Amino acid sequence: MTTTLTRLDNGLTVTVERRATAPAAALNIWYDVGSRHERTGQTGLAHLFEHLMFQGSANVRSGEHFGLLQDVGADLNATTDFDRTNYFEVVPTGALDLALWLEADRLATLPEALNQENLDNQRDVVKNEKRQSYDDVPYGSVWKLLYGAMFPQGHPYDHLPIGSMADLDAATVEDCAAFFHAYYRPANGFLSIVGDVDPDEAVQRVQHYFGGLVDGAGGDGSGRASEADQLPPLAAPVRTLVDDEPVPTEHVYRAWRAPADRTPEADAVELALMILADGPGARVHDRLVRREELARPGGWSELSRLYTGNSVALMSIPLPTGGDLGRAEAALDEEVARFLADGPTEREVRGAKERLVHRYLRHSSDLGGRADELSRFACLYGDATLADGVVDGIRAVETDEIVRQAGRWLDPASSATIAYQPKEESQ
Amino acid sequence: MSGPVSGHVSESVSGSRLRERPEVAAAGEWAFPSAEAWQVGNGISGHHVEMPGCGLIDVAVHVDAPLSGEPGGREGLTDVLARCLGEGVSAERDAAEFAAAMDEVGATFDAEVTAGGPQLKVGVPATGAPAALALVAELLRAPRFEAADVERMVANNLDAHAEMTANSAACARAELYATAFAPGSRLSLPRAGTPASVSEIGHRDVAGYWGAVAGPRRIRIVSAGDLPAEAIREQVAVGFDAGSSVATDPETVPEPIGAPPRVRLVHRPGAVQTAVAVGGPTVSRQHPDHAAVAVAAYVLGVPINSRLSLRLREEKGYTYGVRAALRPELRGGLFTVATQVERDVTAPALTDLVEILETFRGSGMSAEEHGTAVEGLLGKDPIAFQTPDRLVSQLAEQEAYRLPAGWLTEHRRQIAESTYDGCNEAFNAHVPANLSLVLVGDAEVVEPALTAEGWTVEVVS
Repeated sequence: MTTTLTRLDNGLTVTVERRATAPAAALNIWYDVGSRHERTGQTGLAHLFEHLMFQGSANVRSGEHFGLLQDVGADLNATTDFDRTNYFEVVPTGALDLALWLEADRLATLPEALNQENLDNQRDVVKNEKRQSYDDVPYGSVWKLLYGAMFPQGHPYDHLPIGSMADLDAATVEDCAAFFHAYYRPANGFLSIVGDVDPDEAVQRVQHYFGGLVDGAGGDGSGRASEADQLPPLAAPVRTLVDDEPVPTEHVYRAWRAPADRTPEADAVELALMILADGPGARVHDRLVRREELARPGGWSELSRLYTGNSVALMSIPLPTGGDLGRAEAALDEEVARFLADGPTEREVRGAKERLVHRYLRHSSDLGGRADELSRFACLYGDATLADGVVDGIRAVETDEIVRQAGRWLDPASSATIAYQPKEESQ
Repeated sequence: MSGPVSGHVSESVSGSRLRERPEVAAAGEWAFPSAEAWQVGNGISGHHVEMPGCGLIDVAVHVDAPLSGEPGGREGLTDVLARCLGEGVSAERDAAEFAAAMDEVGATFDAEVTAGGPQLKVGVPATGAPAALALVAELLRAPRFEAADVERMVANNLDAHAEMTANSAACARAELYATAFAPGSRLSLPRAGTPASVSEIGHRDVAGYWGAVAGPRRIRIVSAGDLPAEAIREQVAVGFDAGSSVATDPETVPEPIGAPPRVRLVHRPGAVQTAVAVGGPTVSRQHPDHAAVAVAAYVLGVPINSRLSLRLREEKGYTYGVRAALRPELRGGLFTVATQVERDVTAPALTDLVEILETFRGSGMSAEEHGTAVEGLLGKDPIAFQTPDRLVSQLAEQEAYRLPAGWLTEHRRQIAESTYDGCNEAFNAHVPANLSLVLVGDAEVVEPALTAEGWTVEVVS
């Protein structure tokens, strides 16, 4: 499999890979803008703007982007995260030109279609997305509390991409236009195509649609730092009890500061997290769910990989009805402490590596997932082909390094805990 | 710096390029990959799609034991059984060792309850497939249902029920089944059973049920990935051969009985959104008109430019999303429209939703809507079925609903050959004019607003 890398004169980074596994092509563009670039008082703007990208441009009517592509069976959407905004279309091969044209037109001319009506409508849609995903769902408040415990005010990750209702209400058409000019420029875009295409021809098509765009001056951006130095582990544990929300059962969420993405230290911490609390073979599951019934199934752990300064190590441990938070948290602390003291077995390390590799192979096995990986590495790390080193990187982590990094980052004494107790039982 | 309303186009040539919308080249022929059928001497049968080079294997084992066959008063037995199997209750090793052995080869392993019976699913890098499949075979050959494990799975089921009820959208969906199908009938109850029925389940129930249903003639194994079919057959089917062969024949599933439509509001104090689920009984996937009803559901509420989404989301901003679906059962099914709307617009959103459904019933889809729906429905499959897990999901779903291996191919042909007036007629014939309606939201705010708009609502606290 060969990967064709190029950069247009206007700065747009283009990566193309031929894969004839389906009569389809995945187009994926990462723009180097996420919630970490938002200024105070404008939280949620990157995500709100992502919605506006579907409301038309000079040659595309509102809603037509989705409509034209869904009508030919395409799988398309966009997501906004702390670090970036991602637009993707997996299309039948014959619709690749249409997808490229739609992306180029909105990058070239979006402000021509920006208006109050579109903004008001999508602001309502986004506020309903926030209600549905955070405000009106059990435990939906946890993300704000966890990330708030990890990062101080003023840090690029001090707020969630969904933003606040007040800031969403305050966004103006002018704010959105300024945001576009600051970040939606060819040189801030990283485009990948993976599919049943001839790479040279695909690059020509990208040149055809995007080549005439100029890279604007950018503008002043957020006016605050979007990058940060690494923060050390929390100096003392933090615990918040939430007992005034209608949740079905007790639940323990836990977070630690961790090394930033794309470091060997991050891989080591992720492997430690998996051995501790991810899946039915993990230590926490075996003790808390299987042996002591202090927790119920469905728990997980994850390294939320972030670009600048620190990632966040997360654990979610749901308790049974009437569960005992104190005992569950104590047992969790003991399991983590035992891991830090004794380290993992070689079998555990082997299993965690195989599972992590498997997960990565799965993600990259379809056209859309592979294109997403290429855009990710091109955007954040300047080289799409780094995607090909992920598996070797995981396999190369030494057991000693897992012990060392877990000891540094996953100490219970530097964790943040958000503990939920159902409303009725808190009286 | 450029002004606030200009974009990034500077050359006239690029402007004209962007003014010309590219044509979409016709899609080539595509067919769902043909699966190789196999059977072994003891009666276990399966289908396999070989995908050389993908490096992955996915396998689903379906036990043909429809939920309608669960003993009365023990509804949810299949869910508890699936939980036990998912835990890896092998007689030959304990659950922790089973999980560790799966982990060691990087496998994911899970069991779930479907309308047609329990299903085990394993996904693994091809290099680890022999070991993972040997574990599945070991589990199927001799599962051990101990009292303590079953008690724990019953407790897990009850917790999962509490979690489902606490989620407004899931609660609305469950209440819609309870409203649209006859009280007490299996389809009116959650697939995982009710707290009352599940609390009655003990380890003897689980062991007895497994003994009754787990015979080779009821086992179907569907798989896809980077191994030839014979490797799957040898690993799983032959491994299972030593087990039970005394299972009863699969039951006939009764036709569902619909219930008279009602409007119910489940009170959720303080909820800032209202979950809405509207629906009524419809045809099963075996029915010759199913494809035509599916086209109608697509026009109404599948893509973002569907009739419902254009009004409720893109025009009014009432919701993040709205979706119409045909939820299949072995016999019959449920047509549903589901959304979550801001609390204070519940009444106008519902009025719009119902008006769109009534307009559709009156005048139907246009020829143009039909054309784009057909293209969209047929065009998505080559994209959806790129990977072994998606292929196996589809094949496993067909097993769960007792559909033949070539069902999707036939379904696609029916969609391609459908006409817009045929789809309109099918919708009117197979989706009830009067649908049931379930809301989960803050009744103190929502009920007065609905009453003022002329709705009669039954409040459930």
